[in-house]
Formats: sequence, structure tokens, C-alpha cells
Amino acid sequence: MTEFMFTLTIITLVLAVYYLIYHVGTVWIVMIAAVQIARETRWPHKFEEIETFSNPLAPLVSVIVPAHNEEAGIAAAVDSLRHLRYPALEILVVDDGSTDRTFDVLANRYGLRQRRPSHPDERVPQLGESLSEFETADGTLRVIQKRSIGRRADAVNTALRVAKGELVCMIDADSMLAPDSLLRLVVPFMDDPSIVASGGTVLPANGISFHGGNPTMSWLPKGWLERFQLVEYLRAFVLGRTGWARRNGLTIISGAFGLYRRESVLRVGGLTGASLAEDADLLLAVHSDCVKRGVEYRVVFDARAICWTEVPSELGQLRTQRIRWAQGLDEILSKYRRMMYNPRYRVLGMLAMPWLLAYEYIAPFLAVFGFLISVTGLVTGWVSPGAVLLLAITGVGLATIVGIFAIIVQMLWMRLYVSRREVLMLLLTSLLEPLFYRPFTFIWQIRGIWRGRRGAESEWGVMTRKGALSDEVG
Amino acid sequence: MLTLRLSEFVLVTVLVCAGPFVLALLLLLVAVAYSRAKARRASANREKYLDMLILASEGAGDPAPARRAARREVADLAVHLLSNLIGQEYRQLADWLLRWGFEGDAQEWLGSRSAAQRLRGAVLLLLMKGEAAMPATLPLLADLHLRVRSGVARVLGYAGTEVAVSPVLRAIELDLLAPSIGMMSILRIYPRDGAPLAGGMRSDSAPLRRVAAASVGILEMHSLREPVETLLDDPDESVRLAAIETLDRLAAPGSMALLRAALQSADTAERGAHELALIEQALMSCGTVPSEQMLDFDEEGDAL
Repeated sequence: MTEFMFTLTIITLVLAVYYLIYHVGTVWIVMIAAVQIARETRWPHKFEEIETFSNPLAPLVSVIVPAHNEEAGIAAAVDSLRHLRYPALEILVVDDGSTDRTFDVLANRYGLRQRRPSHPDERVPQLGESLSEFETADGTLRVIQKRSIGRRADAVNTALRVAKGELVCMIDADSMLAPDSLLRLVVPFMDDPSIVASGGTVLPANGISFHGGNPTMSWLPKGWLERFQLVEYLRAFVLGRTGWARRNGLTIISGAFGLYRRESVLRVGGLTGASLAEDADLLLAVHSDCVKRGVEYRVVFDARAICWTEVPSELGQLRTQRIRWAQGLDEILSKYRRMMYNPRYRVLGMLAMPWLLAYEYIAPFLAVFGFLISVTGLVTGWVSPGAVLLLAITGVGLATIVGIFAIIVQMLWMRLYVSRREVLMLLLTSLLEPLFYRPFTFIWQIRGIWRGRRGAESEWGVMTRKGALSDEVG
Repeated sequence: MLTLRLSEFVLVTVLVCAGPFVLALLLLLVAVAYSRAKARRASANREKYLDMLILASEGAGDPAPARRAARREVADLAVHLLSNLIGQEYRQLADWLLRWGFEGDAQEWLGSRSAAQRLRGAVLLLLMKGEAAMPATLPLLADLHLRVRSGVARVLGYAGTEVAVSPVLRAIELDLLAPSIGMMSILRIYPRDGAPLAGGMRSDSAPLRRVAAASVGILEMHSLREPVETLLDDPDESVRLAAIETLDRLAAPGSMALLRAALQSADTAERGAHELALIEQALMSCGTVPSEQMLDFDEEGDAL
């Protein structure tokens, strides 16, 4: 064997071991998630939910909605919050320097009146100055107008400073919560004081009609780009996050739908204004704070608490989003590197963070490297076409298996997409996703990580909202 | 040319992976069929059992199904229904469940290894039998599973009586129950006897003292004003705050002297702005506060 062939074989073996670990690990997470969701369905939920809903001592939840130029969807989002099945709610919308009619829509719809500015908690910094504060007659909806500094985190922090709830729920202005989703997340907080944060499943809302927070027509998005994202979200939320949360190893709670104990957020000074992954940054900061203080704590996840959100429907928007996410990943892995392989952080430090590094951060580089090696081998004749084809089929097949498991789990225990047509369409999407979607995301991830390494200025980009949530609401 | 070795390697990989892939596809097919059949059956059963339970709540009703899985479904539906019924309908449905042997099911579930099943048993038993079920269900306040303990506390609040107050307070004291859940339970029970709460205010456990003090205020138990007043100087701030809020609610002029003393004592500097503001609020509820005694606060909320 020549030296070159030896090197090639070693590379192949390293890649094989890398992917073997990935797939074994994924099967482990899938199994944990499936068992967790199946177990959860066995509990007699109804009584605890009825009791919590009817109890005047249920903890006040401040729902924080940062809004920047969200006139298309803000009314639907706030309406869905006002229809939530939860007894003690304070809705805080932060109009973050909108130049469209976001504020007018709210003011006209809810009859807002100006109020005295609230006394802020100074533990959370705020960079963009608050201009004025408004509220409804019953005080359940407050709108804070502030100067924008172009950061969602600063808008959330503005609301965190004045939130009164024992629990704070952060959602996006283009999101809609299913009516019982907040109740589902709050009940564990009440039972277990050691729970500091909780997340729910986020799914694409594009092209779906809603009534009172529930989809009324076709559940599947119409565009392929959104469908690819749906499969990706199902895999990440239903399986990934449920599995990691079971072992207290969750590294992120989506900014589109997360519930925290207010005190735990205030202790870490709210969201980091400069971060591009402020949701992951916040959760890791909370983890870190709890471990430093030596307190027993848990971060949980309930896959059956659903939030629908508008996902990018154009390639350009998706590209900007994914580059930003990858740059954010680079930021947090660098910022929280001391957690990596740190036994004090248990599963989070010993498994979840290394997993994030190996299979979120490094994976796109290896995928592209593997692809280039295969193509070069094919062109130069080092590798036979049959071998490359088989390798590709293996990769696609294994990726599809995980997608299939996500479909099975959601179908058996969550009953989101159950009709024959929907399941077939999801299966087809799972098969096509590794071929037509994932390569793009890998390239964007590399671009984002590269930008992060260079210390490039972070970009938020602009996502044109189509008001996917507005159809039948209100 | 790397054809043979790599091809062999890839072939082995594919053969190893093809199995799981085919298996996953088969599993998907089975899951689709199973899920659809299950959904159809569940929907039909739900309709059938709900009709049966509604008839039972009206005094009639067919015999309950004998199959274990079906009885579990009926029990869950019955719990849902019972928590929405009152008066005669509630009693008739509970009697129907007792008549068709659901007490035996619930007792069996109480001893189950599955925590969810234990909770199911406790909820059903308490809703069917009320106080008579408490000897069997109160031990579950010390269950190994937190969710069972909390669930039992919730249903005790709904269907329990004063007998449950002391065990709930004890569970808070032993850190077996979140104070907020215990307090909700106590308030729902609405006890008339203040002795357990008075005992709670003397406990070494700060969360219990806080729950007891706060409950006295919400339940407006004027007879327990004095034990609450002793908590105005409690070392735990949350207990002091609960005591002040309770005195505010009770609004008894007799508390004014102690509240004023708390406002003017040497410890005032150690009390936070929020606490001092609450004391002022309580003083106003109990009587009037001379303006010269009102504290001023700076922009940061510190007392001047």
C-alpha cells in the first residue's frame, strides 16, 4: 500500500468512526426522547391542568414579545396570547424602534393608554432608551416603545427589567402559542422549585390558517423550503431537545418559545446584547450560574407544548438566518469553553457541549471535506463510482432514518401530522432533505463560523414577514 | 486505484446500515397503521364512555367495561368529568364508579410501580370518596415521585377536608412539596381550624412559616393575628414580607403599634425598600399614618 493510499484509508476510517459515533449517539438520544414522550403521555394531565388553570395562586407569567416592524403579525400574536389557557398573564410587547405601523396596530386594536414608566430592575442592562409606556385598561397588556439598537436582546432586556411575573416567557412577535402550551410548561415549575427553565416545540406556521392558536386547515407548509425546515425542527425539537433535557443537558431553549424563572434570568443580567445566539447564551449563562452557586437545578423540555412561528420562505432569508446561527454557535462555544469536558457540569459538560462541538460545529467542515475527497477520488480514479454512490446512499439513508423516527414519535404520541398524505409528504421530505437542503446549510454554517473566527460584525438581516399567522385570528 | 478495499468497506457499512433503514421504514408503516387504528378506537371509545358517564351522572348508566385498558380510559374521563361537576350529578357519578368496582381499581393503582398510575389511583379515589379516601392517599404526600406528591396535594385541595391540612404542612416542612402547591391546596380546603397554621408559623422551616403566614391572610383568620405579628422580626425576609401582607389584609388596628415599631426600629436599615413600602401600606390599611412618619424613597428605591 502506498503512503497516499494509507493516508486515504486512515481518513476514511476516521470519518467512518466519526459518523458511527454520531449515529449511535443519535439513536441513544432518539430512544431517550421516545421513552420520555411516551412516559409523559401516561400521566393523568387533565386534573393538574384544570387545577392550575382555576387556581388564583397560579404564578404570574410575564410574556415578553419583542417587536421590530411586525405590523403583519403582531395582532395575531398578541390575540393568541390573550386567548391562552392560563389564569395569570402579563403581556409585555416591546416596540423596538419600529418604523412601520406596529404600534398603531396595537394601539387601535387594544385601546392603549399611556402610563407612568415602570421602575426597572437595574441588574439587567438596557442600551436603547425607553421612550414611553402604554397599557390596556385592564393592565394585562403593556407596550413599551424604545429606541432600537438593532438587537432583539436589548428589547427583551427592556421588558425583563419591568416584568412583574415570577416566570418570564420569551416569544417572537411572529409566533403563536397553542392554547394549552403555556399551562403545560408552567405546571412543572410549580411542582418543582429546582426547575429554572423550560422550552417547548417550535414548528413552522407558514401557510397555515389558525383559529385560537390551533391550525384549522392544512398542517403542512406548502413550500419545500419550509417543509425541509419542518423536518429539521421535528428532529431537533421533538427528538434532540427532549432527549438532552431528560439528562439535564439542554444547551438551547429557542428564543421563539422559552419559559424561565425571572430571578434566574435577572441573576445573569438578562440577555447578552451583543450575542447572535442570545437564546443559547442565556441558557448556558443560567446553567453556569446554577453550577457556580452549587444549587440543584433542572432545565426541562415539553415537546407537546407547541409554538408556531413563521420560518424563512426564501433562500436569501434562510441563508442570513443560518449564517447568523452558525456565527452565534461559534460565539457561545468560545465564550463557554470552560464548560466543555468539565465534570462539574455533568451531562452538559461531558456530553452535550462536546456533541455540539463535534456534530454542529465541526460537522459541516467534515461533510464538505468528505464530499471533496469523494469527488476528487472519483475524478482521479482513486475511488470507484460504485463506492462513492454507496457512501452517498449510506449517508442519506442514515440521515433519513433519524427523520423517520421523528415522524414516528410525533405521530404516535403528539399526533401533529397523522394523515396518510402528511406522513408520505414528510417521508419524502426526509429523503430529499439530505440531498437538496442540508448541503446548503453546511455551506452557510461554514460561512457563519468563518465570520465568527474572523470576528466579523454580526448581521441580523431583515426578514419580510408575510403574516402567516394572521388568517383567522381575532 | 482504491476500489476493492474502500468498496468492501462501504459495502459492509451499507449492509449494516441498510438493515436499520429498512427497519425504520417498516416501523413507520406499522406506526402509521397502529396510530390510525388507535386514534379511531380512542375517538369511538371516548364518545361511548363519555355518553355512559354522563348517563351515570344523571342517575342511570350502563355497566362499566371489564377490560383493564378500557377501565383506565373510563377512569381518566370520569376524573375529567368529576372535576367539572357539582352537587347531585357529582355524587351520582361517584356512586356509579364505586358501584362498578372502580374503588378496587384505584386501590390497585395506588400500589403500582408506575408513578403515573399511583397518581391516577389517588386522584380517582379522592374524587370518588372524599374524606374517606384520605387514609389511603395521604401517605402519597411522601411518595418518591415529586409529581405524585404534587398531584395528590392538588386533589386534596379539591376533594380533601381539614384533616389534610396538617399532612400538607408537614410535607412542606420536610421539603417534599413545593410551598406554592401546598398553599394552594390549603386555601382550596379552606380550613376553619387555625391550629395547624399556628403550628406552621412556629416551625423551623422558613418556607412553612411563610406559607402559614400568607394563608392566614388570604383566609382572613383574625384569630391568628398575634402569631403572625411575631413573624414581623423573622430572620427570613420572605417570611417577614408574608407576615406584613397578611397584617395588611387583616387590617386590624391592634397591629399598628408593632408595624410602626418595625418601621422605626434600628433594624429599618436592614429592611429593603420593598419591605418598608409594604409596612407603610399595611399601616394605612390598619389605620392612618401621620405624614411626618411616612418614609421618602430616592430614585433607586432606598429609604431616605
